[in-house]
Amino acid sequence: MSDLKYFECPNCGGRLEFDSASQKLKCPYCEGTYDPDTFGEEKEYTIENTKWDESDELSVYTCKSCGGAIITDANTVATSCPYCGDPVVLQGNVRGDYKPSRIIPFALDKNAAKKEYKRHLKGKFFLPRAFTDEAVIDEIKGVYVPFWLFDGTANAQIWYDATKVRHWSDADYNYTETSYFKLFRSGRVSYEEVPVDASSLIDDRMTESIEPFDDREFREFNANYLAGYLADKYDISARDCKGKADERIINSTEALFASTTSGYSSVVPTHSRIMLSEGRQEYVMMPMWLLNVKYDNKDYKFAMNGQTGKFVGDLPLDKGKMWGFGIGLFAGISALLILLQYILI
Amino acid sequence: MKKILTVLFTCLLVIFSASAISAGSDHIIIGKDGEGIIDAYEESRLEDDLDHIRDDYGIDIYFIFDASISDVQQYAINFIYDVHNSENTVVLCMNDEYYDIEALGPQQDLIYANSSDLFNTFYNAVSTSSGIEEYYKKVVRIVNSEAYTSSVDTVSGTPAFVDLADLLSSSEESDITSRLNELYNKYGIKVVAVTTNTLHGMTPQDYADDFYDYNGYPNDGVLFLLSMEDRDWYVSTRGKGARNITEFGVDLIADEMMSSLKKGDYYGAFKKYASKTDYLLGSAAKGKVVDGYTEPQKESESEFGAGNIGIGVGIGAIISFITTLIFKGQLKSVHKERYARNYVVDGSFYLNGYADQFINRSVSRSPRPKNDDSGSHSGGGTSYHTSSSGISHGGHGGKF
Repeated sequence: MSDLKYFECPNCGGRLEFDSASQKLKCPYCEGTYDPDTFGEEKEYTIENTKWDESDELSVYTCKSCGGAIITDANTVATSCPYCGDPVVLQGNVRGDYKPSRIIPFALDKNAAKKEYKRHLKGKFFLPRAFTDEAVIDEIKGVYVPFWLFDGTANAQIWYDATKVRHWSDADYNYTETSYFKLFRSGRVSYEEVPVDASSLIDDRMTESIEPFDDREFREFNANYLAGYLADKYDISARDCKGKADERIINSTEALFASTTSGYSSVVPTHSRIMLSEGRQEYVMMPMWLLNVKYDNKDYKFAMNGQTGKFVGDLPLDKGKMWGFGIGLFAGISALLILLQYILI
Repeated sequence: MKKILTVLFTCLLVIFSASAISAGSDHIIIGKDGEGIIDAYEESRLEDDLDHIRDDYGIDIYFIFDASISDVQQYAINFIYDVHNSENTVVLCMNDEYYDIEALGPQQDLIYANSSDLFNTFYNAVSTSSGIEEYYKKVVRIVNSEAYTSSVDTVSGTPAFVDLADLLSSSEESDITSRLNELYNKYGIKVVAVTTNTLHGMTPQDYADDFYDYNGYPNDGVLFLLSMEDRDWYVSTRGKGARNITEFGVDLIADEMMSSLKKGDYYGAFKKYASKTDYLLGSAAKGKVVDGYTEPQKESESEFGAGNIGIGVGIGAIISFITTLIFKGQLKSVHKERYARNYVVDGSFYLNGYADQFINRSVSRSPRPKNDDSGSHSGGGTSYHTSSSGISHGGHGGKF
């Protein structure tokens, strides 16, 4: 049995949304603002019928304000009614284990996302002109992405083969002296809050590309923040996510240790033993804007960090521009250098 | 009682190990910047060896490495006068830039003549300990060269012309001698000619190589041998002589001298030897080692040619390639994140084990190409062989 929660503006009765610019609950009708942490007024829907379709893992809710049937999957936590547009938070999906401990609220709104998108297109020389002119933003959604954050300490022992090479010459010979060394490093380094995308619906490469988030902005989780945005609960367990965090920790540890071997011409690790200790793991939500752009019958996906504004997304390549530029520059520089040499010699 | 025994035992241990250490007085002295170039076990083995050499052969050989020595020659000279008390003393002293070899004793001239060979033997070895070992073994070989089984004739001083077969009159002899000495003054390469009636059972190569090596001639030289026994001629080259006179050059010398040799005009033949050697060494001194027939070449240094076009095209391609890659890379911003650098806890990185261990050292060298813009190249350079003294020689011979 699940309940839908909505927040009614005490002033005019409209449905409140969480406004990222002011970090408060805001009424889009009368512009009244309220502090999400202390806001108490809530009305609860009672659900008349919940049809739970096990095989498809979909649930159907009835929107009390317009009567429309809202179909969501079991992971959806916050969405908007497709008929009347009112935001709804599916409280049932944020109970118990599925309730995140902390959340970073949205700091940038939809307009900021659109602005950053335009800026992202600037200065990209090999972007087809047509893209800038014709591509249309098909969809922008503000989504709270579920993450597992991992703490851990890596204890490492790494062995390296290294060489120092010296060159010198006299009148008759060029000499090369190679000295061979074996290096050893051992120590430890700690990591905290290494994030792993816990939703299989959201592309990990996107969420990794918009890192890092500023962890000073974490707040105690409160469902109020979700209002007006989409949210999914996690569907990949912490255990299944840990592998990815471990991989990143190991790579960084190896890089950190390798940076202590300086002064050699070459350093090659031959053997490494890295042991990771179990640390804290935490379930949180962090904000991301997702944009879908249609161009030339293809979908292009972009993402923006809803807190820092870091914008990413792969753009198409205008092959004509690339070859034209490449060959033109080659011809130009070659001709110039040849001419210069001819004049000077 | 227990305490006294412990003290006594410790004293015995100290004395024992002290005597073990000082059983050999140090022949191998490693100072600043030399830590780890030779391990302790190897060092004591070599010290033992050097003690035996001093006792059995009467040769006292030293090796000093110390980066803090400023004047290696002065240091080596002072050192050798300090320690010299047996028949022969040899010191190889080096800092991180220079080396010097000093020798005292009856064979000191022979050692000085071979000093750069001795150093190269040490320097080209696979490790410091094997380098030191080969160095002192070679010193022993050089000093004992009379006991060594070379039956070559010996002469005193280092004369340029040795007429054991008495083919020339004394005035002809002195003329040839002065021509050959003039070449030495001009080029710094010793040019020698030797005639003999017998090779004492040696091959022409061995006789010619050994005559040059065991009679104390300098490192760089060329020797022409004429043996009347079986009508053999042989040219032996060493050091700069070998580099500047290739096998092709040897053939030129022999071709030039051949008709005179066949006629029996030995004076004429050796005059031609002097002049041909002068030509070959002169050409090499200008940077063109004669090694084949060359097409007459136009002076091409200051002309615009295909090479310049190649440079222009090459650089243009590189710049264009790199710039294109940069602009193409602008379009990609989504990637998998391999690292967790942003999540390192400040100050948590702590190293508790840190060791850098030196294993060994090797030196390789390649000869620098001499300026040689020759066209068709029918020469093959110099082909080297090692003579009985361990020194590399070039050259070859034939009949006349």
